[in-house]
Amino acid sequence: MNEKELLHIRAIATGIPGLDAVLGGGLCEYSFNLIAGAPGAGKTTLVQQVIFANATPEHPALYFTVLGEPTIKMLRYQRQLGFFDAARVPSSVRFVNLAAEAASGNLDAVFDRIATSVADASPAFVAVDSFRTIVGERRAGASDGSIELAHFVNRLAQQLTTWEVTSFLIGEYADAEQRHPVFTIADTILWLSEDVDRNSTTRKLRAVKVRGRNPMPGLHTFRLTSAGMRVYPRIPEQQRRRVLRGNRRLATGVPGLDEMMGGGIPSGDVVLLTGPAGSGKTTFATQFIATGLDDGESCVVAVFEEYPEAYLARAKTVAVDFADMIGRGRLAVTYLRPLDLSVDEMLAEIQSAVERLGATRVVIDSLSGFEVALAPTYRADFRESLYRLVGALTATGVTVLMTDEVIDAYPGGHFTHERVSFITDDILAQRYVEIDGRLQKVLSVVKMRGSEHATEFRMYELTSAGAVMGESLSNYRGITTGVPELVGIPVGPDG
Amino acid sequence: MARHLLEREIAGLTDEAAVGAAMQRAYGRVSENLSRSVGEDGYAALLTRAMTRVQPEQPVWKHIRRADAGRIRLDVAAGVRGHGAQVVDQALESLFVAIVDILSDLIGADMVRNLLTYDEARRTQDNGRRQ
Repeated sequence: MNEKELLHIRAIATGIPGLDAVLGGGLCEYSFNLIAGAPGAGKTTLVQQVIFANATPEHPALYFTVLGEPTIKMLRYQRQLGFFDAARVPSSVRFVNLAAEAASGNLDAVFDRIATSVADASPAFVAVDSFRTIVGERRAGASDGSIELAHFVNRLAQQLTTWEVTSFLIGEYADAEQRHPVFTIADTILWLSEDVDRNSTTRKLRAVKVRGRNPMPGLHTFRLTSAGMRVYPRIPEQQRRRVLRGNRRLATGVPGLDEMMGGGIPSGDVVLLTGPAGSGKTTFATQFIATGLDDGESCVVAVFEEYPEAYLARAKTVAVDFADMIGRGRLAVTYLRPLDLSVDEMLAEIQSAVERLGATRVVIDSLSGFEVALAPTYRADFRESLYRLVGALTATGVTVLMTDEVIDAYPGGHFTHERVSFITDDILAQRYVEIDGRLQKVLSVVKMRGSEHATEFRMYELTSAGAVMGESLSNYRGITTGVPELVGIPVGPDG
Repeated sequence: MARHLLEREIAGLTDEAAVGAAMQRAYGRVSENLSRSVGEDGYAALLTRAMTRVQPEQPVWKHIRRADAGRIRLDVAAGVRGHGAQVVDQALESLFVAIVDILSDLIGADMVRNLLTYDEARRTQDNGRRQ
C-alpha cells in the first residue's frame, strides 16, 4: 500500500457547548489532558462536566480529589450545577479522596492508590484534582524532588495511556510555570484565566496544545452558569462558509426610502443607520423588521438600550404584531446581560437565533449600546470585534441593519464613526436641521456599495404610523451646517 | 436508611457475639464507603459531629468509643459485652441517622444513599455477571 495509513483516534465530545469546536473536534480518546489556571477559574467544573457527559456504569470515571477543597464541600457546590447528576454518583462517577497519601508526600503511595483504584474500577476516565497539590506536597518535603516528580508524572502518563483511560490533571499554575515537566508530557493543555477590569470580570480559555487535533487559536470567552460551562469560540471570519449574495432588494418599510436606495437594500448587505438621539433610528429599524415579517421572512433583533418588553411595547406602532411573531417562531428579540459581554457571546446568541428561525434580517439596535454592554476589556478591540461579528453574520447571508447614535451628524464632514463605516455596505445618515425656525429631520444615503442611490437630502417625519420620507431639500444649500439656506424655488414645467 | 445499613449485616443472626461482629462490620462498611469518597479527614470530621449529637443521650458510647491517634474508633464488641446487643444496635442506628442527616444536609440525601449502598449495588451487579 502506497498511501500512509492514518490511525483513527476516536473523538470524545466534551459535553461543554463550544469547547469541541475550540479543540478542533473534541478530546482524543486516551489522551492525557492538563487543565491549568488560577483558583476559581472553572477547572473543576470543566472536568466534571466532561466526565458527567461521558461516564456510564460500564465506562465509569474515577475522580481523585487531593488536598485543598474538602470533598464534601466540592460535592455540595458542584451538585448545584445542571450537569451534575447525583444519581450517577458513584455508579458512573466515583470520587476517591487521596488526601492521606498526598499529605504523606510519598509519590509512590499516591501512584499506588491511583493504580489500585484504576485496576479495581476499570474506568474510562480518570481525573486528579488537584494534581498541583500532590506536586506541592512532594516538593515542599524533598531536597530535590524535581527528578522524582518528573519520573512520577511520566510514569502516571504512561500508565494512564496503557490503562486506556482518558485522563485529566487539574492544576493551579502561573503563566511563568509553563516549563514544568507535565506541560511537555500532556497531550492537551487547556489554560483558563480570569480578567478583572474595573467592575467587570471575563473568563477566557486557551487551547495551548492539543495533540492530534487542529485547535482554534486565541482566547475564547467562557461563562460559568448554573448549567455549567459554556465556551464561546472566537471564530475567525474567514473560516466560515460564505453565502453568495443574490440580486434581491429588501424593502425598508419606510415609504420613500426604497427609491432613495435604488429599489431597497441589497440582500446580504450591512446597513448602518446613524443619527442623533430621537431622530428615529429605532423606528426605521422596526419598520425594516416589520416589512420583512410581512413578506414572510424571519427576523432577529438584538436590543441593548431597553428590555425586550419595552421594545415590543414601542413596536406596537407598526402593523405587524411582534409578540405574535415571537410566538410563531418568526421573530426573536435578544437581550444580553450588559456590561460584561463579549462579542463572541453576542455573536453566538444572534447566530443561534438566526439558525433557529432561518432568519434573513438582523437588526442590532444600537452599536453604541452594544459597545457599552461589552466588558471593558473588549471595548478596546471594538472595531475588530465588530468586524468579526458582521463578517460572521453576513457569511450566513442575512441582511444586517445596525443603528448608531452620533451626537452631531456630519461633524467635520464625517457622516459616521470612522471605526464603524469600513465594515458597512450602505450608510444612511439622519440629522436635524433648522428650516424656517423649525427643527426638521433629514436623511441622506451616504454610501451604497455597488448600487445607484439618491444623493439628495430628504426630510422625513415620525408619525403615529411610523417614519415617512418627505420632500427633497434640493433647493437648499448648506444642509450639513444644520442651518440650510433656500437657494431658489424649483421651477416646474409650466414656468 | 440507617436501619437498612444495620439490617443488611445482622439479619437472621441471633447469637449476641455474632450480632456484635455484624454490627462492627456494618460500621466498617459505612466508614469505608464514606471515607473513599469524602476522604479520611472528611469522614473523621463527619463522625465527630455525629458523635456530639448522639453521645450525650446514650451512655453506651462511653464503652464503644475509643480514640486512636486522634481518630474515633468504635469497639462494638465491648459495648455489646457491657450493655447488650439491643442497646448497641439502637446506639449505632442513632449514629447512622446522625451521619446520614448531617451529610444529607450538605450533599443531598440521594447522593448519600448512593455512597452508602454503592458496595451493595456493586456486589449485586458482580453476582449477576457471574451467574
